[in-house]
Amino acid sequence: MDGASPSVMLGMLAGVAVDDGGADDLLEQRSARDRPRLALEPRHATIIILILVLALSLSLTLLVQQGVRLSSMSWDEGATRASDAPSASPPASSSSPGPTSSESSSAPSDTGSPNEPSATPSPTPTTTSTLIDLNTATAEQLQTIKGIGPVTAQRIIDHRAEIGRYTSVDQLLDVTGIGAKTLEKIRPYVEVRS
Amino acid sequence: MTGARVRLARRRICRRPYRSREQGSRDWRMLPCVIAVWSALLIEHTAFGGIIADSSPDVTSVTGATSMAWHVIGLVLPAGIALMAMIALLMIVRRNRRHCNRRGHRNRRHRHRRRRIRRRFAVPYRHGIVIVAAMACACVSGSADDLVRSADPIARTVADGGGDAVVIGMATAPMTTAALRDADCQTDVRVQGVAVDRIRSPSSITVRVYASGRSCIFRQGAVYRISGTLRQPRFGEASAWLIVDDGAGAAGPRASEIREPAWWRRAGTAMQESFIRVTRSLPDHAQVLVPGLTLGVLGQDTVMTPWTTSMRSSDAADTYAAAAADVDEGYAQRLEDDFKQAGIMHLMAVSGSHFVLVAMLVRRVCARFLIPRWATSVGIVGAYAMLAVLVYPSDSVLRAAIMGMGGVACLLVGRRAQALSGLNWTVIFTLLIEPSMARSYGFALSCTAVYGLVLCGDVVTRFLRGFMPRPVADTMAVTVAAQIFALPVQVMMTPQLPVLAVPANMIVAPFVAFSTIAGLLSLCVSWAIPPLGSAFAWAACLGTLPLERCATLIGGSRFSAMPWREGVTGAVVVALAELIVPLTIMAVRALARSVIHETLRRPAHGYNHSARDDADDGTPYRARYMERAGAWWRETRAMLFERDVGDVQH
Repeated sequence: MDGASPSVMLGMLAGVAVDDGGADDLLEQRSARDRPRLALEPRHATIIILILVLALSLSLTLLVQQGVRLSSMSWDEGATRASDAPSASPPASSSSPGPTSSESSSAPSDTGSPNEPSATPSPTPTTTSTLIDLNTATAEQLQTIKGIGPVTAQRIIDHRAEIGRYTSVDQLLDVTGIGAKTLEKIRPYVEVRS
Repeated sequence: MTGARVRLARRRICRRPYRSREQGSRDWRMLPCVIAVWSALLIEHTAFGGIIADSSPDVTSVTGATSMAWHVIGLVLPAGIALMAMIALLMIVRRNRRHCNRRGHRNRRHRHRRRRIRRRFAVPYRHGIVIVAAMACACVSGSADDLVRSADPIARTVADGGGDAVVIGMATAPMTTAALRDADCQTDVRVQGVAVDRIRSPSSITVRVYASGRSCIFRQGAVYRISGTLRQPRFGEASAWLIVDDGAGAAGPRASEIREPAWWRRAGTAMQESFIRVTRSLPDHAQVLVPGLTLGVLGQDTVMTPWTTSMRSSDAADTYAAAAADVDEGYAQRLEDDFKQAGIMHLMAVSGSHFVLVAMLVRRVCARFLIPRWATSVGIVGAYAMLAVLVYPSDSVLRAAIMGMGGVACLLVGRRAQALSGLNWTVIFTLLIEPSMARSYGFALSCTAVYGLVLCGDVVTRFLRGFMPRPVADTMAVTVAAQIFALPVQVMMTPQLPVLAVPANMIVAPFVAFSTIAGLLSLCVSWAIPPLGSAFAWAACLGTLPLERCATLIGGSRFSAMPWREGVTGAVVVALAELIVPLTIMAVRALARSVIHETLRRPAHGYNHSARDDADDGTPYRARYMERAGAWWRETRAMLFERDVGDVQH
């Protein structure tokens, strides 16, 4: 009893259960964990790698999603530019086969703009223009334009058969059912290719 | 003898494997990943810039450089993936072989040693794999982003020397006053399509639009068709500038709206503008500071859109419309400069503190009514969404919103949220999905401030509590800890050391939370009940008066900012200085402690050590300065103000 120090005695008395280690053990338990957690389990490492790859694929998907329909954007000025109607062909004319379209089509498939396949329902698989040619369009193609229904599309085709071919977009005014307002609405989507 | 026993005990603890000393509440596992991802993105961007610049400066070969970069990426990427797959395979195979080889060895001790070595290296090995994977993902994402940006038609036009263009895009930021002298307003537009020389092509970069006069019609979230001139930026982080002129000539309006913003965006803009209108009836300093504290934009930088002004002008009796005078430009500029000099400009940007305040408010209200946890988290998500819509967008808002959502997810599941873990994952996801954020100063400042708070806050608090009263020590610890990692980034932005930033921040700290809450309340009600909004705005104004005084006093003094080296060298020097200071303190303390131990132990040679063996485990008690000062004060007070002689304790 003389050889045992006070803290060992206290340790022998301080436990509750049979296998309690005493005060020293309690102290060690309290101060045992003092380092931040840095080690990775194998399955955690796998999960983390999978999450990283998921984030990467999400990022690449967002990059790829640039292909908005160019033709559906309103490039034209609208009614305020009615005075320039004869010269309205510049904004409505075909985009020339510039190096841009070939550049975007030569880019690898994942960043190649899906603008190409979703471009326009024109029959010619050309990348030059995204507008519908009035002289070669079918009724279905005309109906894809907002503002032209089946009846109007048929009337346009009938008028084309009457006069032979359209020489200007403004000749659509002669078609019954198409007035000035409707013409301004559909002008950005149609053209006359001579 | 006692010292030897203590040392033995300490060595026993240290020899325990690291795994059994880990604390689950301090989860640092993704920290090396974050460092790897961020540095990989920065290195990749520098390398990409180097590849592009190395090719001839001729314009037509930008495409050549792009295709060359594509070839490089096309080779490196599959090689990297193959390498990673090989390493993963090796890891799996080695583990299987270890299980299989248990019987094949003759020398058992040799096998044990090999197994111990392999086990000791298994953990860093696995971590190394994850870091390599993270760097590979970052490189791929960053290079894809850089390639798309460099192949963008706008980037090519700008490299060409600029030119006229018609741009269709969505405005992603509200209109603010232009930083250019000859423009009235500016905004950021995320381009959807561009027509240069009548060649239309899709585009995806964000340009900064500078417009003036009647062309200033931009609303956040609306799609515009803008015709102007593309230019190379002279400053700032945008990749191109679009200068739009007045539209007063025969050319007609240069900017027209194609699509309206969504209803929630329109509502948000209306709420912002009624709040700003309300603040215009406050005194000068509040006109500048209250919108800054609440929305993140200084009062003089706001520009009203024509929609709300036309709505209001019809109501002649509306005094708030009539009082919408402009802020005094000169005074506002001086105040802003004072804030920057004093080092408290970060208060004028929306940061995580707004989100924390809002979350705390919602939680308290929900706890008061005993609302279940899932409903509380739904409420917090709604509050965060509203806050993100209402404040002016910036990178620190993005970081705070994502981190806040992570915290709400933890609340929903019922686990305790860890700030460091949430921040690590926020940074990793943000950088992988939007690699250009790695170069954004706002994002970097926001992240480094939170890292400093989380990693060093406790240590600094414990250290400072020994010298000063608890509230003062806590405030100062927050300031110092936030500045630790943010100071090098700040020095890279402006080559100046804000010497008096710590006292300035400590002076304004008590008033910021109150003013922010008052401002947010005013923002919520100003659109419906302007007088109530005005009352809240006055409360916020009272809170910003100490800010203004402190900025003028400290920012105006000559000693507030020390010039420093520019760029990365300056940042590195600051980082080294920050490293040396705590090391010096620790070394001095250790020296003092060893000297005192030596002087104390010399007369103790004659003692009987065996009786005091176990009593000497642990560190000896040393009264700290604050405790000694507190004891002195108590005794002095008892001595001087005793009521009865018997009260004094001897």
